[in-house]
Amino acid sequence: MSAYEVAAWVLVKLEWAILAYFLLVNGWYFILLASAGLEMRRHALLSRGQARWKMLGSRVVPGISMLAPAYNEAATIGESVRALLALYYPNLEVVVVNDGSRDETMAVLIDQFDLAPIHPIFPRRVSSAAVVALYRSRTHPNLVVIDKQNGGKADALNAGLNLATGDLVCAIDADTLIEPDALIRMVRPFIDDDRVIAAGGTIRIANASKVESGRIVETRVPRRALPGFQVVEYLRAFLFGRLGWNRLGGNLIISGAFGLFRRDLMLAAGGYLHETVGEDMELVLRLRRTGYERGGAHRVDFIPDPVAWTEAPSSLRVLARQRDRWQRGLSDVLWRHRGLLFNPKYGRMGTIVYPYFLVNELFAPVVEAVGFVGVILGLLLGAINWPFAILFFLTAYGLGALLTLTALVLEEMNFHRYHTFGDRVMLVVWALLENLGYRQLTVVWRLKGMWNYVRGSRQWGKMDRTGFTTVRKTPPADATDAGKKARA
Amino acid sequence: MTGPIRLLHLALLVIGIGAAAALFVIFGHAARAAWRERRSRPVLERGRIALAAVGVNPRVDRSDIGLLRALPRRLQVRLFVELMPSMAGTQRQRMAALAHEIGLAGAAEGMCYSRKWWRRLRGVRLLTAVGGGEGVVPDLLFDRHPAVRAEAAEWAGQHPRPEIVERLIKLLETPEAVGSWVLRDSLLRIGIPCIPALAAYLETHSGAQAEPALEVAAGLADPRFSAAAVRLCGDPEPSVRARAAALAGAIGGDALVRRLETLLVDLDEAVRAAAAASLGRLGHWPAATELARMLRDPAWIVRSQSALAMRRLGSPGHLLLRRALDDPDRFAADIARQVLDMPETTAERDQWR
Repeated sequence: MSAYEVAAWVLVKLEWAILAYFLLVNGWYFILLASAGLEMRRHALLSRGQARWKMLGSRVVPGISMLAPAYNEAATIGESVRALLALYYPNLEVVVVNDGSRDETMAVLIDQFDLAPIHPIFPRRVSSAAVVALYRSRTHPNLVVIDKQNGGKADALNAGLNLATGDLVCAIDADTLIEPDALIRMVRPFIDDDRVIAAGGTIRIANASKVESGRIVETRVPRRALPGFQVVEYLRAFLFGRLGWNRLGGNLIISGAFGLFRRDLMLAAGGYLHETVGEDMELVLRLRRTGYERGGAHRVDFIPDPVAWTEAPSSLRVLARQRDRWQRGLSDVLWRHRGLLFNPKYGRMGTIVYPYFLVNELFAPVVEAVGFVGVILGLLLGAINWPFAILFFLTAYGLGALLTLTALVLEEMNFHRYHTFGDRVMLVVWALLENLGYRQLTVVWRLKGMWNYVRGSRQWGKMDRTGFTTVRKTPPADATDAGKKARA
Repeated sequence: MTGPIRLLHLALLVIGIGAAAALFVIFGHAARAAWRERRSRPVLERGRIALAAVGVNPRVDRSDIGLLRALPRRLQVRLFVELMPSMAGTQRQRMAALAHEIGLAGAAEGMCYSRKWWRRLRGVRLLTAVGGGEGVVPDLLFDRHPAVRAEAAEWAGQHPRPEIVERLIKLLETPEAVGSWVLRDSLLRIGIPCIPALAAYLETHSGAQAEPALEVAAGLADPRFSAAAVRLCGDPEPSVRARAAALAGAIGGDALVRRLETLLVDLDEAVRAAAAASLGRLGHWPAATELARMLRDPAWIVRSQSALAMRRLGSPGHLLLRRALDDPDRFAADIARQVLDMPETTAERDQWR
């Protein structure tokens, strides 16, 4: 057997392995899709005609503490906090954590919310960097502001967790825009079922949508490719990825941009872990794992209609950093909790969900890259039949596009968020183009993320934002002066 | 290779059909929704005016009723669900009578007998919005689907008839059957009519079964709960004692104040904190010295609630808080400092409820 023949034999066998993987992954996707469809129908039937406004007048709803970490957010913090304080929920506390900002974030907060410094003592139940000062608002009794040394997002959330008093804790990113009734929708699984320990809502992309006073007033689909691809990517991830898991063993991920957790369990678990960049997923896994081990509650629900909007990276450089970080986080969390793999002690989380994340999420870029390179080599060496390769490529592309189109069907049938014909056309265009170039780029970034994880990188990566389509107010000079005086 | 290639051709065909169907649904659904909305807008507007006229005007115009009756059922539902929550008193009664007259309430009652859980759920929801359903909904408190049971409990919150109150209170023994929140919320909405039955329930129940009832009782704050509060302040379960202390703080009275004073030395920190908060809520200034001593308690929650309670006591509490600033116990001095720093509204909010 010549070297050429050996190489050709290996390539053909490899292609069969890749084909088997392809069938496995897409089979799973279709199971998830079917599950998501059923779950969406159940959700629609349960929520149709529900008088949610009644909760606003209730005296026994669980208290919610919103934890909003902020780092160098002077330009937007006032508007963001006002939007949080105006959320429709009767028992709400807002805990803003200034994570050692170098700009005027703290001064703006002091000025706009009439903050009074109070003696900075609190029960230190979970570890965080030193708290410099503690403030309560004279105008908003439910606003708490923590000024602390910089320690990163997980550290800021832990500091907020120490001060929070609500039964439930809602972790958000400072630049997340939450829809006014999102909390009323999100709290429902907790009041319906004691076994629920955490719940997540849908994150949508706000690029190109119009924002006023911290609220989305007009939803639009971006005309630029990069945010456009992310819009359909997010819809697919949330509307059939996460929703589908509700029936198949529960979610492992609740987005760090918008998630609701039981505070007592978070504290018992020790809060967020500092040493990982996938702190949101790590927490969910730890909470569920602890629940299984102690025979306690371990259910994590995803609810499709509470919506939070976020700004997606609009440059390749920033998006690459984000995907690199996500992949490093995923690798780290799955490695830390490797004891779950096929462990029947953890029910379906150990036997179905964890293996899925390992095979379909973590190793997917590796297999895709090997398959891609293998096909090219196979074609060059003549080991692979051209018509077969072309048909296989078209099938793979078609399946990917079909899955995304089905997510758009779920969106259209249930939420109908994009109103114009042009927006729908753009959604379809991005869904059809996403697999031609963008997906391959994400494979490269994710591979890089895995490589960086192996090399030991724990960097968060700088995330530049261009800002929403809104009028941004810069803090007035006298405001910052007043803030500085108050701090002094 | 012909076999696999044929298979791929077939897969591509299926994908193509699926994609075409998806596109048809996306654009077809959007077009249909827009067309329906355009078509129903003027009808809805006329219906809205007619319905508002019936609500406001005691003399009913038959043409308005005819117009409402002629509307498709989904539009009738939409109109009533939209307008009923903002109606009260006689206006609401008139609109409920109208819902009966045009057959909406009857249709909703019919849905309550359906074998499909989601139709029963829709039926109860509609009856909660438009009124009626006395003959059918109470039985749904024991429906086999949890969402229907919970919705029936919400309906019951608007229908405080003695037998319905009895049924709701009976459910307090197994609150998970309808969801504890729905049950507590409905009883609080019923308010005064549920007090005698709730007091009787608290006389005979203890432990976990008494806890949700105690929370409702604290919200209603009626002296008829005093005997139960005194008894449950001695319950073996700390969480029940804490709830009973909160109830005692909502009612007041010599017997309960004495009981609260004994709870200040309870072994459980949540009970001590609740007792301190209740004494503050009652403004029981003779307890100020005892509360000042509790600023040295090992538990944060007790120190914090004691300091807030002292602040609520007015001058005696303020005086002792200021003295505590020089307390040799650093924890006592710290918490006194923090509570004295707090803006007025904030201190009010942080009080144990």
